[in-house]
Amino acid sequence: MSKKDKSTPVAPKKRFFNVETHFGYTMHEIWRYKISYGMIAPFYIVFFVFTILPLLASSVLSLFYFDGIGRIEFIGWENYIYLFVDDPLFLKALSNTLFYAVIVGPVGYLASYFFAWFINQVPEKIKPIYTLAFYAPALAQGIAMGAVWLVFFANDSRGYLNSILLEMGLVNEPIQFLASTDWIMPVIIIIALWSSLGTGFLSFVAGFTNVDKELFDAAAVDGVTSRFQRLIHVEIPQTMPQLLFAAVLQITSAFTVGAISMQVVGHPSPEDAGLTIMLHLSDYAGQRFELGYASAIAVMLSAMILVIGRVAFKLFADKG
Amino acid sequence: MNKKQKKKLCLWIAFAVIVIGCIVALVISGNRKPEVVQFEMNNSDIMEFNPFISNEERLDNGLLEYGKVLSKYSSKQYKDYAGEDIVVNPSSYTAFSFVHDNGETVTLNVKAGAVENVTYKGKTYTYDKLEEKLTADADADFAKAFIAQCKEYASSLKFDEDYSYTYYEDVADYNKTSADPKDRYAEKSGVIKADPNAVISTTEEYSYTYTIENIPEDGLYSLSLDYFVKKNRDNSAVLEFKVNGKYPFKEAGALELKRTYGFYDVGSIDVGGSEIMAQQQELFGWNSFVLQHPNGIYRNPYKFYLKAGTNEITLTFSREPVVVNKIAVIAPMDNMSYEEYKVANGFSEDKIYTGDSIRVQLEVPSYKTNPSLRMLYDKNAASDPPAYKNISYNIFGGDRWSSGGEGATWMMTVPEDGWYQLGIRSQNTLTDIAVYREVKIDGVIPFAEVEEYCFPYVDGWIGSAFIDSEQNPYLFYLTKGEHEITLTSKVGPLRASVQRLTEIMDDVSKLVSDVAKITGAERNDSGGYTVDKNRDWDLQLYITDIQEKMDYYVDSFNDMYDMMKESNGGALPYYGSSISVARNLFERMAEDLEDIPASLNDINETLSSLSTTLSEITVMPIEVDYLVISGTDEDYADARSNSWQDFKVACIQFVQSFSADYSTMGTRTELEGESKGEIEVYVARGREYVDILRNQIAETFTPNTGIKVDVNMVFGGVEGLIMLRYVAGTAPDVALSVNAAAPVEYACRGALVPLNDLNKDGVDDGNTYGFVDLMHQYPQGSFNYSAYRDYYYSFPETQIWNAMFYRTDILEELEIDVPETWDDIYEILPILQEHNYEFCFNYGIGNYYPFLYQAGGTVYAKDGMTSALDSDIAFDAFMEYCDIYNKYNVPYAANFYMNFKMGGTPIGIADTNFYCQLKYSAPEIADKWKMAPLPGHVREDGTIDRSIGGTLTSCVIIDNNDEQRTMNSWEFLKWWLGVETQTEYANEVEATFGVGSRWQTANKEAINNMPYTDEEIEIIQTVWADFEETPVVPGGYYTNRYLLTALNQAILQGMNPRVALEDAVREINKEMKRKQNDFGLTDYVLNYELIDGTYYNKYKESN
Repeated sequence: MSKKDKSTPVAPKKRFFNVETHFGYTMHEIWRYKISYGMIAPFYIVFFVFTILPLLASSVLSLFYFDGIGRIEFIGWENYIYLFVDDPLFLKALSNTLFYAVIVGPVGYLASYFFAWFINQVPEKIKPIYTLAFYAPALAQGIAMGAVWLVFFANDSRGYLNSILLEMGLVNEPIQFLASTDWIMPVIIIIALWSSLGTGFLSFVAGFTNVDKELFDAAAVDGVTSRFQRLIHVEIPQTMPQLLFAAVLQITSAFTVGAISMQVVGHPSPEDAGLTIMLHLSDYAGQRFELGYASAIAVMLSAMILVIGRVAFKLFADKG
Repeated sequence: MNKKQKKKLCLWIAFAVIVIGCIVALVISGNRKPEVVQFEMNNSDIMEFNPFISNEERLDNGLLEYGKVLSKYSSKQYKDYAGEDIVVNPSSYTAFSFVHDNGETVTLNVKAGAVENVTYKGKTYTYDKLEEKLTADADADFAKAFIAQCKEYASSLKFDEDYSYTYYEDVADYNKTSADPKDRYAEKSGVIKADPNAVISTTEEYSYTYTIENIPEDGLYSLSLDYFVKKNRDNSAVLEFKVNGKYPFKEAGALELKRTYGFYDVGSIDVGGSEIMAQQQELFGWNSFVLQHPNGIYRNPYKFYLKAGTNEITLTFSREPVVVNKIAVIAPMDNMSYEEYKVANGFSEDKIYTGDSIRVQLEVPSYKTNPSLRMLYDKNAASDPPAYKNISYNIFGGDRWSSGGEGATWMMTVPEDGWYQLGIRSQNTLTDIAVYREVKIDGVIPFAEVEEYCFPYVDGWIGSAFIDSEQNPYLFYLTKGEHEITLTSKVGPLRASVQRLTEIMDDVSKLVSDVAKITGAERNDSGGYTVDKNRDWDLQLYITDIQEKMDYYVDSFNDMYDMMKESNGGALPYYGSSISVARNLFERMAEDLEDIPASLNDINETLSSLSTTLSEITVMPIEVDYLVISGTDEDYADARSNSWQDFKVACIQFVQSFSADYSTMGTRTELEGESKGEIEVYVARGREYVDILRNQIAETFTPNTGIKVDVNMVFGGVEGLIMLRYVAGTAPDVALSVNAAAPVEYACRGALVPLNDLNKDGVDDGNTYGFVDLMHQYPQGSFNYSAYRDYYYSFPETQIWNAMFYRTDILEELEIDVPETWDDIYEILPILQEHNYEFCFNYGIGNYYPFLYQAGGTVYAKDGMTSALDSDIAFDAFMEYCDIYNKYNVPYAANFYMNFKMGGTPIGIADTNFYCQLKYSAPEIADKWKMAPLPGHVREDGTIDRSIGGTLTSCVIIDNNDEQRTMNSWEFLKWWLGVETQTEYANEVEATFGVGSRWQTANKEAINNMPYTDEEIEIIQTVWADFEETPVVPGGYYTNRYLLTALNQAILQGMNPRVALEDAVREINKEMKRKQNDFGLTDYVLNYELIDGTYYNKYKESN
């Protein structure tokens, strides 16, 4: 230590921001951790440009009449009024989507969780093989659609399912799985369930792996004897973050269903039996050139997802 | 060195070892030298009889395939004639027949050069007598006209005027890149001199009969003709051949006289340094032709039996105009063996050529038989000249050179008289498929071993001499100077399998329908059979020889399977698996005949895959690069690239892929002089289509107008892209291949230029050829798609047509006339169904509209503001349409193509694509089907209204607020849609892709120039005359949706049609109203009065 240190007062470090104010302080802190912020910046920039900005843009656009080419005109709440009061197809799409979401959401979610749990029971070495086997359908969905499902459910007697049913003598005429209004949604749901072990499932697998093994010993001491009890008392509480993450994913994907329906029955489907909100939206945007109204549908859809997402947060975040 | 460093070093060494190991392995595997292994097999034209055609040996020769007739000849031990040619003067015919307008065949009998008498309806008259008779039968005017016509025919048969034609000759050297065609090639004129001996024909059917008196002995003869085909359409002429009034064998009814083609403008280079595809032209001149199978099925030209003394032969020409100046009855071809060839030409070791080997490039043949044969480029490192840097057309053939009978001829020059080894660098493009080619030197097959020379399969490019089955090269004797070498594709030894397979498929499909009749199997809605599975049938009770038949099928499949392997050098060809699948199925059924009724659908499925196999067997593509003329020491080492070269090429291509500029591809030079500006064109079609377009623009559009065109190839649909670029303010000027329903959607939002306003009469740009003139070249009903309010916003580009297709054999068997109206159809439906046949008319909105239009109805009201589907006419049409499925039980989702081939659905309605599919991939029924105009409804005036729509694409000009660009765009559209450009484009596309993807131009006049037959063109024109499409109106997309829903409800769900239709109309009107409010439309959407007064349109008349 030299004398100089004692005699000269430390010059206040030059600051870019006035730390007295709240904003300045925040900016100062950001600057202090600039490396860390730099690290997360790419994600946030992309997230802002491709998610937040379009969401804001379409909220604004939903108040306009806009046909994509020529006219743009402010019309206030008219799109929303039409959406709620005058659009019977939106109700049809809504009910289809809800039907789909109510089944595929929870069933897919529970299936993901339990399959992940089952896989967690198998020996460490062959675990990846099982994981891949269960995850593969989600990866290969697009290809499997043409190669497996459309052939499986084909309307004529050459469809596998029809062929089997005819062979067994259960039906005399092939069932129009892909054309009959009664069958379209069930078929879509079956296909969706088959491929529902997606990212959520992977996060569960990871979550189970991360559960501290010592907790099992502690639980055993406390009287946990069966694997099921272990699941209830140790593993579920321990995988709460994954449960939340997967729930949000599941809700989003369930409500934005559309591609499957498009591939299975096309759009427009017979008597709109396969119409979902997402398809309704793209119909207005792509075919009817009513981008304002499509935006209104999009805003409604985001709002629904947001609300149900909040419910999921309430369910899982508190206990975690 | 510490431990960590050591570990690191070890890792590096391991890594290096692995990398080096990989490279070494690659090099070794890449440098392994595969060899061509030639093999020997029995290969004769003789075919076996089918034991299940009763007494086939005793059938008339005219009903038997040539191979079977040959087997008859050989059992009777007929000798081949071996004497001099017996030449017949073509103009010395003793009878001439033509088909009169009233459908009767008229024969003019000629004696000493003058018409002696006329045979009409089986009786012979002199001219005077005939006139009397006709006057009595009909009236005097008809008789006079008839006689005059006969005389005119008789006098017009001579080839007494010189036939002149133009052709192009290359004048540029290979590096010349001028945009001006004059610098690249010169137009020359040629003449074929009039010949008093020659006779001519037209596109109609002309028959000439010759009496040949001096046939020296009983025996087998061949026939040769010298002919040329006049310019008409790019088809070959059809020739029928009869001996003493009968076909000597079945195939004599379908011979072809082919045209000859060649290239010009070879070797032009575009601004990017890539070679531009040469152009092709027809070459005129006398062709010498010995009657043979047009598709190379048989090894040798046809032989036929003539008795000693006087014989009559009849030649019938049709489809294209032919001129024949020499006919000769000749000795059948009997080529010597290689050993004899050597002896005959005085072979000795010291005459073998010892000089340097000579390479002859094969990419540009001097002439060839089919326009689709073309040069290609191959980027292999060893291809000569290399094409991996810039595109350079360096090889010939490939997939285009795959059907039998297609040949090409190249010139080669040899330095001295002597014996040469010939070799070719080639590549078989289909894995494990050996191909066959006939080799001719100077138009003659040198020895029998190369009549059908096999190119065995080798992976990748290979150079090899022509070798015998002991792998020793053949030596050819060539004199000093120029020689021609011709390679023609042949089907080879599998001809017998093709024949047997055809017969079996015929047989089995009959069996299927018999079994269906016996078991009472019903047809379901997709055209398959529904059989009661729980019942057992004793089929032997009904079809007594069914067990033998099944065994025969199994044996045949086994034979074919072995044959395919053998003729392919031991490897199983890719189509062989369908044979083994069929064998397994029939084996199963042969073991348990009770399985058959339940397997009808399986059998049909197998039949359909076999029919694919049938067309695949004869597909034999090969690519050739160069010919090597050498002594015996040639090793062809440089024909195959090594892995280092391959690696280098891959690297170069990778680097180049960053800088490739596709927009200049095919552009010859920067335009010199004043340019009138530039336009940008969007096309959503494949690379080849765009290349052809660019080529044509560079050829005729830009030089003539001074307008530069930037053609952009876009993927997927152009419609969405246009919208995005329009909003961004950088829209292209013209879009082609636009979905026809899209333009109005853009037009009502102001994005398009109204075309008829732009240039109504063509006065604006100083020529009088404007919108209306162009419009009259197109079916008028197609413009319904482009009208919005007072203007037309798009122009049709491609358009399909619908027609009725029927199986002639089955309709004849059932004694059904070809239906003309829907009432006729309703009459024949019970007859068809009684025999377990179906009519195909799949359900869809496009198939409802014909009923509406034919009843005089429309989809929208006259002003386009409301739906007109609630009218009584629309409802009646709806009921009639529903009845087709509900009352007449027509299947609503059948696979017409397959069932048509199998014979289960002998009649139905389909479109252009179906036609192309049949032409391209159903050779086995080529002479068993025809098309007819669509059935319609009788109008009040007695004519038949055959209105139907059809998918089309269109062209639009996008409004960029730049008048110069807009006018240039219109100039471009006028050029592109004109008859000449469309014809040329269609020819190019067909030459590139073959008949399977014929350019479906919407231009009525251009279609006259396309290779359809006259009959087909007449049908297409008839259909197009009544072409009617639905206008596009704001909110109109609901029409298709809700109409489909209504049809679904009425047909599939049995709902009351009236209720279903009324519900639909309510929804449609609601949506239309909503859209009209959006656009502020209160008066009208469609206004036909304002458009050209002569224009006919239903909407104008309706109310």
